[in-house]
This record gives sequence, C-alpha cells and structure tokens, in this order.
Amino acid sequence: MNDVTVPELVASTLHRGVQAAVPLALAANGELIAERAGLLNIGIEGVMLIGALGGVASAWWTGSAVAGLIGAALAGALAALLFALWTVAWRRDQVVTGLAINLLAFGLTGVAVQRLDRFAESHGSTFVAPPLPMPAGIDPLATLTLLVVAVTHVAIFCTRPGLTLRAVGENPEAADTAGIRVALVRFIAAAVGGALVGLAGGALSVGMTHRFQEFMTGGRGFLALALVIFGRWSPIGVAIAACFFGLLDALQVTLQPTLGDAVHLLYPALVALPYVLTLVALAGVTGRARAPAALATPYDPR
Amino acid sequence: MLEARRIAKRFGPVVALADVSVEFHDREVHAVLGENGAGKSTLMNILYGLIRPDAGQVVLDGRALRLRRPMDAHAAGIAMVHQHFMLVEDFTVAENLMLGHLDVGWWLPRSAVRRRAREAARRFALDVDPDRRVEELSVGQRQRVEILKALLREAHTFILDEPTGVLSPDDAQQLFESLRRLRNRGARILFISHKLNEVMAIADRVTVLRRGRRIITESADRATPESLAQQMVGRPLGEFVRPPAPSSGDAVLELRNVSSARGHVALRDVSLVVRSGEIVGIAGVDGNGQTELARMVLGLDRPEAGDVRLFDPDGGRIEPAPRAVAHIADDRRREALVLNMSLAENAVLKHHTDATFSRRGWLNRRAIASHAAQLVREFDIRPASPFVAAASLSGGNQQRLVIGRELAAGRGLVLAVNPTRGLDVASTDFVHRRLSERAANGCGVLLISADLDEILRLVDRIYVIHSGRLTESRRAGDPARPTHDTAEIARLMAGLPPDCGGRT
Ligand SMILES: Nc1ncnc2c1ncn2[C@@H]1O[C@H](COP(=O)(O)OP(=O)(O)OP(=O)(O)O)[C@@H](O)[C@H]1O
Ligand SMILES: [Mg+2]
Repeated sequence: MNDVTVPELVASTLHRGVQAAVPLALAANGELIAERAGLLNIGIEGVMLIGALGGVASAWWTGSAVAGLIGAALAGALAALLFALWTVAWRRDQVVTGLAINLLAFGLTGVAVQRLDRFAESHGSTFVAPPLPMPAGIDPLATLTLLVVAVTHVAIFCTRPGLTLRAVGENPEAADTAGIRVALVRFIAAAVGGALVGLAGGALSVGMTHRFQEFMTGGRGFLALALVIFGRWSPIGVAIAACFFGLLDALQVTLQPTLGDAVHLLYPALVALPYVLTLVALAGVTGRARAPAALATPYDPR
Repeated sequence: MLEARRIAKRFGPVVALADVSVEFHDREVHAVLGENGAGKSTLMNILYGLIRPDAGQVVLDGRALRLRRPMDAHAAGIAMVHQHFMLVEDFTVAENLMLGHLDVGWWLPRSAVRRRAREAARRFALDVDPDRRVEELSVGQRQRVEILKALLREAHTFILDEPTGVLSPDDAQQLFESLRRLRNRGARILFISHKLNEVMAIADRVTVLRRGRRIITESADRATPESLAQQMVGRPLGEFVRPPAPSSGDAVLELRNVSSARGHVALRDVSLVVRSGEIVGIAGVDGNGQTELARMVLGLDRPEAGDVRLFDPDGGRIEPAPRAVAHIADDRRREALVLNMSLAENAVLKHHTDATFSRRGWLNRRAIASHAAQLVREFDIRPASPFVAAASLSGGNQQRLVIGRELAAGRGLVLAVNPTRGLDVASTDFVHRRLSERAANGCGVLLISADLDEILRLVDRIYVIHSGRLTESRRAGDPARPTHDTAEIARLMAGLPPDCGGRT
C-alpha cells in the first residue's frame, strides 16, 4: 500500500474510470438513439449480454479481437431488431417485450456459453478472445467511444436524418403526415442503437475480460437506462454521466485497500453508491428532464 | 381531376363513409360540408393516405392511386392541413416546416430553413416567428404553421380540413387570398368549414355529406347558406339570437385589478364582474391573454396583484378551482378529455368522486353508464355508445360530450372558451341555446370567444381583450334597443383607442 504514490493512484483510478465508462457510454448512447425514435428498450441488459457473447464467439472463431467487436455489434443489432419486430411491426407492448428479451438473453447466453466452452475444448482450444491491439498506446475502445458520442450528437441535432428521428419519437403521426416512414425509421434506430449496445457488451468481454461469463454485464444495461435520463437524452450529456459513474466505480476499487478492516462494512455501501446516486438523481435532482413525447407508445395508422 | 370513387369506411360499428363518390376538378375551390361526424375528415384523410378505405378507389387524372401512407399522397402532389394539428411541439416552427422535405440534403441548413420559413410567412401573409417552439404558440399561431406547412409543398391538390376555426378574421382573409391565387394558377383546393358565409365567399362548388353519404354536389352560385344548412341537417334551421337580458343579480365572479406576468401574455389591471343570469362576452384576437384570464378564473394561476373572487349561489365566497367552475375548455383534446378513456368515463371525469358515481373509492358503474346514456341522448352524441373511446368521436361530438359533462354539474359559473369552435351549424345553435338556458336559470356565463358574431348574438355585456388589458364596450344608440358598436369593438380588438367622438 505504502509503495504506491498518490499520483500513481490518481492515474490508475482515472484509467480504471475510463475503462468502466466505455461500456456505459456506448450502451447508453445506443439506448438513446432508440428512445429518440420512441422505443423504450428495457431489454438493453439482455442485448448487451448477447453482444458480449457474440463478441467473444466471433473473436475466438476468427482469431481477431476487431472482428470480435464487429460481431458484438452485429449480435446486438440482431437482438434489437427482434425487439423492433415485436413492438413496431406487431405493436406489442415495449416494456413486456423488453422484459422478455432480458429473460431470454439471461437464459440463452448461459446455456450457449457452456456449449461453446465444451466445443472449443473439443478442438483443443479455450473459448476466449485475443487481446485488442493497442496502437501507440491509445486505448482503441475509448477512442471509438469518443467518436461514437461525437458522431451521434452531431447526427441527432445537426442533420436532417436526426430531425426525422426526433420527429418520430416526439409525434409519429405528425412525422407520418410529413411523409416520413415511421416504422422504417424505428427499425433503423433500433438496429443502430442495438449495435452500439452490443458493442458495449463486446467492450466488456472482448475488450476487458477476454472471455464471457454469465451475467457479466452485472446491471450495466439497467444503469445505462438511467444514464439516458441523467444525460437528458443528449449524447454528450449521457457520455458525461457515464464518465461520472465510471469514476465513481473506479474510486470504489481504489479506496477498498485503504479502508483496512472497515472494508467489510463499507464495501457494500461503495458498490451500492452509484445506484443510490442514480435513485437520488432520478428523483428530481436533474431538474426538468423531458423524455421524447411518444416514448414507449406504438404508432398505429388506421 | 381527382376522384373519390365509391369510398366506404367503417370504424367498428360506425359507418363513417358509405359509398361516397365525388369529383374534384382542377382550378376549383371545392367545399365539403356536413355536420359533425358526417365523415368529412375521414374522406379527406383517405384522399391523403392517412386512412385506408374498406372499399373504393382514389383516382387522379384517370389513374388509380395507391395510397398506403401520406408519402404516397405527397408523390401525387397532394398536401393537407389537418383538423387536429400535426405539429411536433418540441420543435421550432422552422423545423416543423421543413420536416419531411427531402430536398434539403443531409445537414440541417439552419439559416436556410429559417429564411425559407420567413419567406413563406411573407408570401402567404401568415406571420410566424420561425425560431419559436411550437409548444409556446397559441392555437391561432399553430394553425398558421399548419397551413404554411401545407402551402409550402409543391402540390397541385390542397386539402384544408377546417383551417379557419381558430384563425382571426384577418388571417382568414389572407388565407382566402392565397387560396384564390393558387386556384387561379390551376390548383385544386378541397376546403372544409362550418362557417357558411366563408364557404359562400370562396367556394366554386360545394359537396354536402350527411351521415357518411353524399347528399349533393352543386355549384356554389346556386346555393345559399340556408339551403346548405338544410341539406346538412336534413331540416330547415333558424339562427338563434338571444334577446339581451341585463341582470342585476348577485355577482358570481369578480376580478379586481388583477395583474400577473405569468404565461405568455401579461394580464394588466383586469377588472370584470359576471352576475348571475347574464352572459358576459370577452372578444379579442386569439393570443391576447384569453388563456391567462381563463387560468385565473379557474384558480390554476394566482394573481400577482389584485383579487379573483368566486361566489356560490348563496353569496358565500369559494376558492377558485377547476372543480368550482363549469369549464368548456379551449382545447378539448388536451384540457377536457382523456382520449383513451371511454365516453362514459369521460362523462364523469370531473365528478367521479361525487357520491352519485362512487362510494369509498369504488366506482358505481351503473350510475356512470346511465349518466353517460343520458348525456348521449340529451346532447345527441354520435355514435350513441357509452363505451367507445373518446378518441374515436369526431371533433364536434367530443365537444358535445365536454359541454354535456360541464353543464350537467350545475355550477354557478360557466366559463366557456371558444365553445363552438369546430362545431357544425346545428351543434353551434344547440350550444348557444344551452348557454342561454343556463343564464336564464340563474348561472353567470363568461364567454371568451374569438368569434365576434357569436359574442354579438349571445351576450349582455362585452369586454374586449387586447395585450392583456380589458376594455368594456357599452351598448349605445336607441335607449329602448341599445346595440353594440361593432366598429368600436373591432378597433379595440386591434388595439386602437375607442372612437371618442359624437356618441352618448
Ligand atoms: N379513428 C376512429 N375510430 C373510430 N371512429 C372514428 C374514427 N375516426 C372517425 N370516427 C367516426 O367516424 C365518423 C366520421 O368522423 P369524421 O371525423 O370524418 O367526421 P367529420 O365530418 O370530420 O366531423 P367534424 O366536423 O366533427 O370534424 C364519426 O362518427 C366518428 O366518430
Ligand atoms: Mg373533421
């Protein structure tokens, strides 16, 4: 303990904070895109898990971590398209569908990873992803996340497709009468958002632990749902909120050894801190946060 | 030529259109008339691809159109002003105007959009600020945006579903000018209105629908307001004019020097009194403080200075509150009804905690249903089923439901804000009779209306509201039959000082 200097401690905390923030920011941005189109996908935790598994699977299969990330995004997009099929095409309730996707993903990924482990073993290998290349010491995932946040922000607020997206989430009927294909926009938003959520899962598995574990998302998907509200449906706001929670998480890890015996008492409190803060923030500290007016409401032309 | 051929549409048990065929020519303004619920909006929405017909075809220049969604109508050169605004409240006016215009590229060219919006506003002489968010606009301003949105499209057919309901007379004149210009350039204009004098002024031909069937299509020259009203309703109709009944009863509502800067328009030193037995009118162009005044009377806002006093029939003071007032709200869809709930549930919405309708938290379904059935009968609401969702009623029938509910509660003060907006001739007449009956039974009625004719026909006293200030306009002339000076009222509405010369 004493051989670590304070600057080192700060640096490692920051580093860990960024690492923790990356999947949160990606997932929350994905959810934000869907919500801006009026889709509230509470199945995001499950989509993230599917992305994590899809990521490791494609990385293991191809032997490339980059291919793993692409696989994670594709898996997430597919899972989210399933959500869109149910809720947009068949106008099923979004909350119920999201819940179903979560349960499905929890179960399926658990079963699938056992099979894959055994399958890899029978080929004389282990079911893991190779490490991501780190060109010039730059964290590729953090860079990618920054890029995603910037592009999403500009796309939503400064482009015509962004205006279309927001119109569909605010008033689908008005969008329809303006000549916009509401269902198509919602499908696209679901797929793009799902790809980011899947990528967030991939960042966890392929990018950090290199392997898939059951429930490895550990509630990050649910936290991302809250981050969207925190960030007031703006990509930059959401990214800042993700950084805040990432740092909080890292701080908790850093503080653990310094606490000595008190750790048994304080550890649960530290782990719970982000969630407690979320609760407090959602209870109104963020001020007037306005969700897209048509969030979670199906559009049913006559 | 645009043709509706043998169109039929049912909503559940309700037949909205039964085998309707109409031809709309090029270079004509074609008015479509009919009572509330006659099927006008349904027909227009079918022509626009928003509703799909059960049977029949839309044929444009001999070619059958496949209208799966409004986009297809745009491709066929059809633009529409919707009866219920199709605006994104969270967007600015400019953003709403450019929504769905594909020719602007990927980037939002903010300055270009704004310029285009300004140009359009100037070209059609409908003044709107492109940077305001729609949420902040009054209904009159929203209507201008909705109209501009349609006129901006490069269309050959323009459908306007009750575009003038909330427009000021000036704006309506400007709109008619624009429509005439468009028609003279060859456009085809389908126009819906309940105001027959407007129809006579602008239409070339007229089609009358009644209960989902086409009754007649004829040249407007051959029609008179009376003949049209008769065809719409199926019987002759006299116009109701209430004889003035000046009252010296007790005050039911009194505002004393009320000022408040809350809301979009500041109220400035507003004083007024409504006595039992009289109808007091507040005339004025929309957006001059009417909303703010109504909120004061309902107790939704408290005055920053001055005093709002509400009295019960015994003269005791009561707290201004929405439940203490029979309130016929301006925007029925947002302020008066819960659209997803049934007609019956809406019929008791404000009074559902009364002992008749619930006891210890349990609703008395039977009492509610019979109350709704009574309202349906008394106010002739169609379809006459208490279980349909309020959303599925036509605009006029929604309004009948609101009026029925509010008047049934027996409050001492009736606050009616544009109560006949969007209502057909028969319903308007009906509402006017009801309000007048209320006054005769000892209620005080405060009628806030942008429709000056309505006010002149009904009220005992008139105040004019402009920029949050009230001015009373007194009757003058022959002491035996004093009349209101409409020229003076028009001046006050425009914010000019009353003419001081030569009157007693
Ligand atoms: N979405 C819907 N669901 C169920 N019924 C509907 C729906 N839309 C319209 N109707 C019914 O169809 C009939 C025709 O309605 P429509 O809106 O076309 O009348 P309208 O002539 O435009 O009347 P108004 O002058 O009041 O606007 C009405 O009885 C109405 O209740
Ligand atoms: Mg209509």
